[in-house]
This record gives sequence, structure tokens and C-alpha cells, in this order.
Amino acid sequence: MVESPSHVLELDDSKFDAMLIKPGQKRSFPVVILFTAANPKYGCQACQ
Amino acid sequence: MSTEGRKDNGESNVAVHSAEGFWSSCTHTTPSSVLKSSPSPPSYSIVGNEFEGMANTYLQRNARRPSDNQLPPLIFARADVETAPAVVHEKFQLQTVPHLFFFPANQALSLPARNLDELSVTSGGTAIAEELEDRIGLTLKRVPDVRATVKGAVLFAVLAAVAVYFLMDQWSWTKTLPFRRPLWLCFSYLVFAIATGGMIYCIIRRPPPFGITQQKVKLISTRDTSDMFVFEGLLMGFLQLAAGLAFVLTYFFASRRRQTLLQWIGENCVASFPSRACGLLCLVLISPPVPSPSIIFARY
Repeated sequence: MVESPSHVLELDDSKFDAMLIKPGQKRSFPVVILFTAANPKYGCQACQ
Repeated sequence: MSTEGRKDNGESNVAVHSAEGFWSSCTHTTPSSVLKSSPSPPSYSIVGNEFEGMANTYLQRNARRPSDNQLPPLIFARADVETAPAVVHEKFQLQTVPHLFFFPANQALSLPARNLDELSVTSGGTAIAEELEDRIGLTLKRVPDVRATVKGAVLFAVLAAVAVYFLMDQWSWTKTLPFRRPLWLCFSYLVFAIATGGMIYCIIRRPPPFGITQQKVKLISTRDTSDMFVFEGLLMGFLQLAAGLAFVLTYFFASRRRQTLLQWIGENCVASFPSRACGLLCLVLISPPVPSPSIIFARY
């Protein structure tokens, strides 16, 4: 089945910095971010 | 489910600042450096889906309104553990997911985050909605699951068709109806109503989870523009039914000469309904994917 289009901005590390951290420039809009895990599991190997 | 990384009422005490001094510290409720998550993967998809549904509802609402009647500007974003590991692990140092962060405009990124870990299965979407209402006064209300309504409507249509078929044989006054094939007529209208009413589309795809209410303006909106077909289709199905009833009533109150004309129209037009309905049904099932409208964010 076809996936629905999403209006949610998918952030990676670089996009996150670009959107929230702008030196010398204030954000004129609020941002709500959901931190989640598409493949949740106990014990993330990258964190250890 | 992990109980680490949570505080009372799901609120985590995370103060966020930038990496260049902006991200100075994070206060954690657990010393563990291991990211933990709910053992139930579906809970994440539920939270993510409802979050996405709210984002779509919000942007569609603004897209349909003039600029002076729009909701306050807001960007919905999602950061996954795998695609944004540096943000999750180093800057925010999250121990559990999902977390919801709200970053106000023109302010330091210091508001606490809401940990949705406990709320994800049953009320994750509600928790997100409460967060938005607390922060910017945007009220999001859940609309009923339309799938149950559609199933009920289909069942009612089938039962009504069968009942009408038998009653038309029982009641003598039905002999004066313009159609001598009541079962064919009922089946024709039923298929046409289902195919054009968006019921199949609604069952296949997920229903819209949220509507937006602000300033006493209540909207029923959907995940994407294509899903509006559901509501539009249901409305059209009702109008089809109303039109059919009006046609029959008109026949009864028409003169004899006009009854002949109405009978000709009914027999020739109704007979084509099933083929049109099947065509529309095929269009629904093989409809191509709609391109992602994420470019909308560019205007911010």
C-alpha cells in the first residue's frame, strides 16, 4: 500500500543544527520535535 | 517497559543548550548511557503516527486559510535515534524515547521536555496535544475513529438493501415503482455508494486521528490531502442516497406523462451505475502515491 505523505520534517544531525542553531539569528518560529526510534531495542550498541 | 529516565508525570528534567555554550548541560534522571526504549515497537509507531497526523492537520488547516486567519507558525519535526545519533546521544543525552521537545521562538532552548515513554500506547497523541496547548494554546482534539462508522454504514447499507428487496415483494404499492428489478436497483446503489463514498479507501488507509480547534473553529482534517476523499466521499454517498430518494418521490408525485420520462431516465441511468462504480473503485485502489509536500516547510 502506498504510504501517506508526511508533513513532519525528518531531522538528522546536520539538519537539526541548521534549523535550531543559527549564529547571530533568532528563530522566528517555534519547533516541536519528537525524538523517537524507528527500530527500538534495548541496549543501543552505538551508545556503549 | 523501562522505568529509567522518567520522572513524575512523564516529565523529564532536561535543560538543553547549544554545543557552543548553548548546549551547556543536561540533567538526567538516570546515569545509564544506554539508550533504552519501550519493549513494544508498536507504541512508537502509534506516537509517531499521531504526531504526523497532527502535523498534517495543522499544515492543511493553514494551507486552506488566508494568512490573517492562520494558526501560529509551528514546525513539526522528528529526530530518530538512528538518523540523528549525535543529537540524541550527545546534545540531549536521552536515555529513553520517545521524548517530545518544544522550542519556543526567540528564546533559549531551555524548556523541559515531555517524556512520552509511559503514555505512548494509549495516550501518546493526547500527551502531544496537551503539550502544544500548554505551549502555544493550540487545541488539538481527537476525532472519532471513522473506521467503525464506515463498517457500521456498510452493514446498514447491506441490511437495508436486503430488507427493501423483501419488503418490495410484500408491499403491493411497490408495484408502481418505476423499476421492476428491486434487487438489481438496491445492489447498484449499494456498490455505487461504497465505491464513490470512499469507504474502501477509508478501510485500506488509516483514518485521520486529529482535528484542530482554535477560537471555536472546529475542523475535521486528515493526515494528508488525499484522505479528504474519505469525508468528501461519505458526504457524496449521503447525497447519492438523498438524490435517489428524491427521484422516487418525484416519480410518485409526477404526472403520468412525466412518470414515463422518469422511468426511462431511471432505467437507463441506474443501469450504468455498477460499471461507473467499478471504475471508480479501481481508481481508488491503484491511485499513484502523492508526492511528499515537505517543501511546505520552506516558507518558514
